[in-house]
Amino acid sequence: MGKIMIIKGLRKVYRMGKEKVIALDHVDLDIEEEKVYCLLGPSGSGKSTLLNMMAGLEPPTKGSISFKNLKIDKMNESDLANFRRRHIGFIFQSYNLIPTLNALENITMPLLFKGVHPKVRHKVGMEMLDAIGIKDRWRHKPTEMSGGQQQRVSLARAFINDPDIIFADEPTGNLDTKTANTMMMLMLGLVKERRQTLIIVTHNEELAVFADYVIHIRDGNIYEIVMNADKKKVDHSTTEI
Amino acid sequence: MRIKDLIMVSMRNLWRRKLRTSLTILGVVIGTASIVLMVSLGIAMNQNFIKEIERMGSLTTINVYPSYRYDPMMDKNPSGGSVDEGMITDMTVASFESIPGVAIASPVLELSLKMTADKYVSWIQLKGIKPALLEVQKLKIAEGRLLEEQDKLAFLFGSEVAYGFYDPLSSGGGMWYYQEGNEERMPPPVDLMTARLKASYDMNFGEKAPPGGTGMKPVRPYNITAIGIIEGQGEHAYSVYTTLDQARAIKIEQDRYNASVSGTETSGTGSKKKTVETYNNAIVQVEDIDQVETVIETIKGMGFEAYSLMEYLKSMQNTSNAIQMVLGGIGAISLLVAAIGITNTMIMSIYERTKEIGVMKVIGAKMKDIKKMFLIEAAMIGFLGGATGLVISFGGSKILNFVGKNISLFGMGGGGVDTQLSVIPLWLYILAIVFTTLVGLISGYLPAVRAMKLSVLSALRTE
Ligand SMILES: Nc1ncnc2c1ncn2[C@@H]1O[C@H](COP(=O)(O)OP(=O)(O)OP(=O)(O)O)[C@@H](O)[C@H]1O
Ligand SMILES: [Mg+2]
Repeated sequence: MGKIMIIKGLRKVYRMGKEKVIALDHVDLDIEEEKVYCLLGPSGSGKSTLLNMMAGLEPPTKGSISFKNLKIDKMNESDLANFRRRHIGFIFQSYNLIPTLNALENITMPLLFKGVHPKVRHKVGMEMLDAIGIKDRWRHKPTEMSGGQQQRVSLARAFINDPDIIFADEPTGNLDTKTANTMMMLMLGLVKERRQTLIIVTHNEELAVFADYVIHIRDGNIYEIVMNADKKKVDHSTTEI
Repeated sequence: MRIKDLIMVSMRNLWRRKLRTSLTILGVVIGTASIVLMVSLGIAMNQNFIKEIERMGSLTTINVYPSYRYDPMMDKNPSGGSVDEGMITDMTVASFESIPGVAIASPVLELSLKMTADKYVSWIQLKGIKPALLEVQKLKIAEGRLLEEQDKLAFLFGSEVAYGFYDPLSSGGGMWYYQEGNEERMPPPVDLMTARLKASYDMNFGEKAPPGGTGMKPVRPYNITAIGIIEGQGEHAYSVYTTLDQARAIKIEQDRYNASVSGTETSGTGSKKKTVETYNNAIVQVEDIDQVETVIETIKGMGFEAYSLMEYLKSMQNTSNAIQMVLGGIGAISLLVAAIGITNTMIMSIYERTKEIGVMKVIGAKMKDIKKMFLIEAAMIGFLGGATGLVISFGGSKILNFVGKNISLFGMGGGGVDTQLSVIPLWLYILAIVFTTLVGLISGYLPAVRAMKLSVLSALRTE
């Protein structure tokens, strides 16, 4: 199985006036294709920071991130935008739907930016809504939907582009356990079906069982990576299998 | 992003904030309407000036008159030469002709005559000139031909002269066959080219003899041939031209007749002083419009009065330019205020939509798409404001013209039934709409760039 992302010596420092906050340091990580990863760790450990840098939302202070043969750390704003449009999907904890657009319009936003014809957008969007089971709500605005429904829309929006890799920052953080579970199943189903890579940040250890690999982060460092299939612990310095 | 989608998204965003959008648009409407109306006033003014000047004649013609100093009582030339300075003679005309830039100079010998054409009668002002002058002026002929040096008792008529003829026997008076405001004029009462023409310096000629007679011996009229009619409404429209020689011949007989009628042979100014013939005025035709001013200066320097329509046009244009500057400035200020309004609105909506911009960036918006989205919004405000402003300008212009027809504001009618207070040509409409759209684009540019450059994460974190 090939590697879709390779991270080497990653470091992120936030400067707050004179004070330095080291959010991440000495992070090396290889992401394999078509696998599900779970980033697990206490609050403030740097999970979101790592995810955002992998998704090209913010630049690292030091180190390199490559996606296939693209050097993400070397990209400018415009290249990053292109990278995101072509290769990634992103799911937020707080859904982040556009309040003025209905479900269908929200879902098809990425296609809009790709310049897809409206008719095609409609067709693809409706199929997607069908796949996540809220086809009958396509006309609803975000405020007219439950949290679970909103997160489904947000999920559909991340998948509609058929990206190579999907990032989700605590996608079930705002949902109850039952909804969170169905949400996870939905996500995993889609990822497996489409042979995509998924990286999820979560607090919830119960959800971690769904992942192929669980990456434990503490104080800005990866201290272990657990492969779930046989529950074998993998030392992080020898991630390669 | 497809351009249609961009426009659609921008429209929706404008619609989302209906009140704010319409207030911003209102600012542009007021700015556009004031600028367009102000400019339309200036355009109308200029058009009226040009119309008026076209009515008056050619810009390269200079009319030269004897100096006002030529007054025997106030003659400052005590040496008392045979010819006073400032009188127009063949010699002075020759000196005008030698001024650089002058194509031709001709003296004008004017005579008041009475004419008949068949049964119709008219007073005319006959001008004796060098026939070559009319050629140089590129005079256009509607019928017949131009004057020639050897023509005898042959007159060339202006296009309006025929309308001056009336039937002395008809009671209806109506000497002018001219109906105000009516484009379709009646034809003149007589066709000068075919009628039998006679002319006389006797002012009773052609009229009904008063009962009991005038007690004067009738003068034998001249039989006149019409050689042509001048085309158009210009300075020549009311003129009757003949050669200098012909005018001079008639004048000599007229002087003799006048002397005999008044019986005071001694009063004749000619016998004592007139060793050199003087003329009423002279016409100097300049080759190029740029030379008119210097030629006028030269002639004035020689001690004559010289006028051309150029001076008139200049002073009118100066006035009109000054007025246009002020009017345009007032309009421009209101549009500037509107432009600031657009910028403000755009900054406000970017501020409100920061998070949305962040989300759009994460889910695949290009940098340029974000910029375009806001630019189109701003341009749309400019365009809609411009379009509405033009509708209002159109109405305002109509109202101004309606009011202007009843009150002559500039008092420069000149028979101008069609004088308009406000003129909006098509180019002004197009220019205005392009300009306001451009103003929108420019006003929206900085906010749009700001939106484009928003950092993804900080945008996402704003609430
Ligand atoms: N924009 C920022 N400016 C300054 N410090 C920041 C910024 N973003 C994150 N940090 C700091 O970096 C560290 C890691 O933050 P991060 O958001 O990655 O944590 P997290 O693991 O996602 O926590 P949580 O589970 O609570 O979301 C924290 O100490 C945080 O205070
Ligand atoms: Mg986090």
